[in-house]
Amino acid sequence: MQTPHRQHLGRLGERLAAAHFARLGFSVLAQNHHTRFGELDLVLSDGRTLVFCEVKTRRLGSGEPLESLHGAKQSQVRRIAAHWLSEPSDRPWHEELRFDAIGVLVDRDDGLVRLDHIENAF
Amino acid sequence: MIARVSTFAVDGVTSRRVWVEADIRSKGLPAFTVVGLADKAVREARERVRAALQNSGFVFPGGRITVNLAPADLRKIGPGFDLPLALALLVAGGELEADELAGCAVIGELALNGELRAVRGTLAIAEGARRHGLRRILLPCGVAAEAALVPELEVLAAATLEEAVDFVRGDAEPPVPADLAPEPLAGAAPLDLADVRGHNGLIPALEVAAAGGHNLYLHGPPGTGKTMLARRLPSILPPMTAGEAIEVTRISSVGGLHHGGGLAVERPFRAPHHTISASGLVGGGAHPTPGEATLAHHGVLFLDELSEFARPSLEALRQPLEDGHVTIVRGQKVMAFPTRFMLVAASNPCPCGLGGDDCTCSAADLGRHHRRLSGPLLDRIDVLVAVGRPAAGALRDEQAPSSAAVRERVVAARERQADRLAAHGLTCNAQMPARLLREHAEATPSALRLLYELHDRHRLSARGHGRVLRVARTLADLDESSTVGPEHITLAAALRLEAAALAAAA
Repeated sequence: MQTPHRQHLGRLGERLAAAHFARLGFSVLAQNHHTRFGELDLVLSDGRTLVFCEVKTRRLGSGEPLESLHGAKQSQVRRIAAHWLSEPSDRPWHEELRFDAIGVLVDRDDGLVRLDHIENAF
Repeated sequence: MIARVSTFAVDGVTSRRVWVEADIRSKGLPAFTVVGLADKAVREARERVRAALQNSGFVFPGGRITVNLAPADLRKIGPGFDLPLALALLVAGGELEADELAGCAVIGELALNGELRAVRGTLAIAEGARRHGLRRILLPCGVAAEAALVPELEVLAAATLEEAVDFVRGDAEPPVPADLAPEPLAGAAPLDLADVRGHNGLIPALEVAAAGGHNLYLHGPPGTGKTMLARRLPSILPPMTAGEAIEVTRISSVGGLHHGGGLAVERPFRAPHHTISASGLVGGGAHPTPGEATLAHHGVLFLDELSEFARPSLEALRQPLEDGHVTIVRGQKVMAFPTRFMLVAASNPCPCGLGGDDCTCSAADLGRHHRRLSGPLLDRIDVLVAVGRPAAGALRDEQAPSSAAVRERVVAARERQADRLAAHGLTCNAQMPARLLREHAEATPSALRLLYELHDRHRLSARGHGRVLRVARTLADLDESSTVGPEHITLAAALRLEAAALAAAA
């Protein structure tokens, strides 16, 4: 499965993404939420909009982060989101629902190089 | 940024203009979509184009890429859209100026390393470019000589994607297409009639068939030389005219048979196996493609073991034989292909092949065999030749005249026909419709009397009647006679009536 090294990179990206969302006024409802279909990276809310965010992290020189967010992955995220919403816990009601994508590029020393945030990505 | 590149799609044996439009948006998830009724090979172009661009040292543009192939109602098939797609991306990505590609048609398949691969139907595409008033065409150098056949069209022949971009920018001079023509394939030495031993009696019949473009039927026991004779027929047919050569080149290129050099010089000789389907023979498929009958246009279609062909395949040949073209209707698509070929059929006298007294076939076998051969197809064959077993002595000593000598007479006879028929757009006697036949046959009164007598005695069909007269006209042409005399009628009837007798026997 995931090597500790890759897991570390993924968690780093998610932390950076969450910090970015915090600056936009969003609060994290769930992080790395596991379901039988897979994992939701981030679920956030600003009170009005519910955001499911898929975070892709790459180290400098190994390609574009968002390139690997292909159609199959997109529909997987949608499926997990539906599953999350239908879980019997008390989900807050929101006017809007959105799927975002965040691509994080970091250098060898874990320093942030670039963060692309695409709203309504899919 | 949006870009538009002009290319062409092969449609039957012609081409239609297609626009490759590329749009790159920096917003949104990276994606690369191709729309516009593209088939699998075109959608796979995405991966080839991506690899080829990166391996040629270009930046593959990031962002959301949408490529549209217009007009959206035309089905786009094949890998020829790779190069226009790559260039459209370069223009949309700002690496290439849009006006540098104005007035230029682009076609070619890409290898992953950026090399350009030849595509089918180059001549049809180049003609399309000319028709639409484009000045230049950019294509793989393997097919440059073919595109250069079209006048007033500048050919930019590139070996790689990088080179293609240089030519478009004007940074490098493209090579002269004529230098790029590959060496003609070193095939087998041309077949010559002089190889045939012991069949001198049959040469005049072959000569008549070649001179008038008449359909020919050879029948006889196996191993007597039917196939050998048929294969040598193209060597005594007159050389192609410039117009015919262009047509043959265009069709063989669309069929993927052309080696990419300049003009085709030899008449096509197609010998499909007897298991061929009807659509394989006359053309077909969901996107109709030419069949063997069209690939044999202006040449010879040889059906060996005629009685083994499936009935539907043979029946399908009737319209092409009669009209010189075939109309294929599939779904929403109607397409017409030219099929002016000379039919040469060969068959054993019976399924076991021994014929006559040695035959071991059952009556049912014989009946089936004759039913296959009989009827409307045989009625369209003018010259029937029985190929017998030559005597041992003849096999050793008797050598047929060389193809060159026979061809000389054939060419002279064709010239006489052409003088007569050029005004009607025809080239040989076999193509004459009944009206022209009455006008041009000019039979002497005694010849006509003989013909009517034959008509009454042998129950010739009306078409058979015309066919006898047509072959007689060819015989007169070979005799350099302007009128058809009784001797020509007698000979023509002898070549024809045996066919009628065979049909009657079935």
